[in-house]
Amino acid sequence: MSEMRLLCALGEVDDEFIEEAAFDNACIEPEKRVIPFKALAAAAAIAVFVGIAAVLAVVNYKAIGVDTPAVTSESTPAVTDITAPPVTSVTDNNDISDDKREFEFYDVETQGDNPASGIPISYDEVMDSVYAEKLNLVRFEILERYSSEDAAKLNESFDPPFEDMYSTLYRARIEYDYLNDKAAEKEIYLIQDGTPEVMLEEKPLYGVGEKYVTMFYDLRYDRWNKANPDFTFKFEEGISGNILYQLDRWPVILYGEDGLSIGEDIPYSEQLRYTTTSNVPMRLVRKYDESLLAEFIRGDWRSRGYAFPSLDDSVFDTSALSPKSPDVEAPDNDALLVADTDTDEDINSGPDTLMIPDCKNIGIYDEYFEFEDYIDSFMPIYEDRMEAAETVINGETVLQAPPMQPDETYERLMSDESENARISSLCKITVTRLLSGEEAAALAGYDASLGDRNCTFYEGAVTYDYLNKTEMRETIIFSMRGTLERPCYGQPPYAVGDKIALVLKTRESGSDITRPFRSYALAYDVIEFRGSDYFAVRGQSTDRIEEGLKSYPHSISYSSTQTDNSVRYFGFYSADAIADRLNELWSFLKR
Amino acid sequence: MNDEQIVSLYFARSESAITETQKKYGKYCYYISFRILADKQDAEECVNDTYLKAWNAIPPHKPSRLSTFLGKLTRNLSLTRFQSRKAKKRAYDDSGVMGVLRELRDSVPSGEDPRDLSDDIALKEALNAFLRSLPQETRVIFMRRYWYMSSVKEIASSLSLTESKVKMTLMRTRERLKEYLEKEGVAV
Repeated sequence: MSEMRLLCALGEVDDEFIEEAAFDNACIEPEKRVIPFKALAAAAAIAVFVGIAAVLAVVNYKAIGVDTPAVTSESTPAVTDITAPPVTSVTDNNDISDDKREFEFYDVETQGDNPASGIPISYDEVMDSVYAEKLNLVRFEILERYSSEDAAKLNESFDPPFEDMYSTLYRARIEYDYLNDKAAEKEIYLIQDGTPEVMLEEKPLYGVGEKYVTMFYDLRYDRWNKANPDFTFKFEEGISGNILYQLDRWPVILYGEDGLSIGEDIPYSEQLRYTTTSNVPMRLVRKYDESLLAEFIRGDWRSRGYAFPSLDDSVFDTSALSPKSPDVEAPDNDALLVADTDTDEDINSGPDTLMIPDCKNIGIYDEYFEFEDYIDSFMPIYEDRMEAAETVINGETVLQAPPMQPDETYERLMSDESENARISSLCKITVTRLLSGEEAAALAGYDASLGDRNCTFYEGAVTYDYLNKTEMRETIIFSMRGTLERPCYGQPPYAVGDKIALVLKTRESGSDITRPFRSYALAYDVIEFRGSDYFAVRGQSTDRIEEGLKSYPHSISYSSTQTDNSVRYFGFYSADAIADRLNELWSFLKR
Repeated sequence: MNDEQIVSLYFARSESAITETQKKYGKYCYYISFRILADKQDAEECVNDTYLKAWNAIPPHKPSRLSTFLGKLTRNLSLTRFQSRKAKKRAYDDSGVMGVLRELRDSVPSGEDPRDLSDDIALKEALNAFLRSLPQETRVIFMRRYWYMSSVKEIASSLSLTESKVKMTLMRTRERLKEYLEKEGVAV
């Protein structure tokens, strides 16, 4: 068995990897416990910084974007204005005892992981955590630090409350909105991990009067907020421009269009700054010119197609992000003559606690889709998909719809001429209603006897043609396999509001009515994400249509609003990539 | 007692070498074995076999890292026992090695079956190179799952990660491993 051989071979890998992965439960020797992860991580961190410094020295690298002087033994940035908030830096621990400055807090207990552990995070990873609809990049000033008693009183008015006794609450004022490049004056509540008694390593409490720049995940004025831990900068006024010092253990390095990094690493020996406490320094890892960083962010986010909301709009209703828009308007069309049916009510009354993954819980990470925690519960479905062959719903074994074999769709597509039909479009369709078979047959001319008894008929609003890249405003009726009572395994019927993409072909009669190329092939669920559409392939194995395309290959399942039957996806693709591929094939067919 | 002293006891053929090994690494070895065999008695027997193997191997062998030396012995013995028990149709819990094996199917490249020792060496070298190419956190997660056979929940908890993150990392790493082995032309 090959996997057993692989497992055995893994047993013979170098000792360093085994030691590195050792852990408390398995690593018995007390003095050994410090070796494995944290110590190596710290060593790795040092090595990375030393390595970067060495490389930069070798290539005589000059970072752009910051008007910085040559590195000197002075640890305080030379560009910092003397009027800036007092900041002391040290080069080694011996300096701590010699520092006679007064701090707000002395000998604070610290807790938390070694700050040098963990891994660097990329800018793209930071962006993955940001909701495109909730963008912000702001500078705020700490106005007041609340005592725990005052915080507790205030906390009663928050929804949700921050029931974390190890946090500190502040009143702060947003004074600049970088996205819209204008001053602002918005007061917010802010929390920070740590208390005056116990702080996290290298995370001292904010000081009143200190200013920081961050992007808030979900800026709200009626509740507490928290600075983005991966993208927060300490702001300091400078003589030749304001400087942003990035906090945290690893720098997020931004690259300009010319491929050069913006900003400059702070030498490792100069990263620790004592601010509010005598023994918990803040680590500042990289510095940026404020205006260049803001310009970069604006340009980058614009290129991603993000709109810049006003800070006045920063109380968001997250339900608006649901992919199931309740007010889908079907365009005028004669096909809409069918009256409402009871079926529509059934659609809306289904279990709806688990929705289609949308931009709230799906993101792109390193060319993969990333899912939030509550998708966890579906992971076993994914993992067991090969074993799961049948499912029973409401006591009845559902209709099995074996996935099409790879190449079958492709072959059908290539031989489509013989059917006197042709592909005309790849349409984005919003399901607007479900029809009974009889209604569909009467309206659209389908022959209900042609095996359509196991199909559900839908009316859909066509809004876009991916092949021709044109807006559309039509209505079609189409059928897909499976019914509410007997859904295909892994392919539950669609619900009103679902967005799908279908390859349509002109009927052989030459009439205007289109129908899907094949009822369950070349049909995709559309996931709208950051202004782009992605296709999730339902219930079929990867076809040659998608072969070679950049894919997001994770297969997941989720519950439909229609039935207990979970959708099964076998791949995620860019809508444009699929459209380009079909256009290539279509060009070939037309020759 | 440090590792060097324990190894010295082996070289002196002192039976206290076993006692000291058990004190220091008994739990470590038991964890490895139990994760594979999911059976208390089997795991204990395997750990005892490990001590015996170590006694027979040292000297002449002088392990540079006693912990990994013992860990590898335990792991190999446990996998051997697992295979023999599996042949007798004994069921094992999915949280043990069966689940791991099922996952590793994703990483097995297509191609010819391996034939000789050179294939084993090539595979080991490829795995080392692959592991070296991984980010540290990914490597630790991968090793915790496929060397120590820790459960996803356990890994997530000890590394302060979500289970989802661990699963995704493992899935990606398995895919990368397959690509890597295919690219290197290594048979499994």
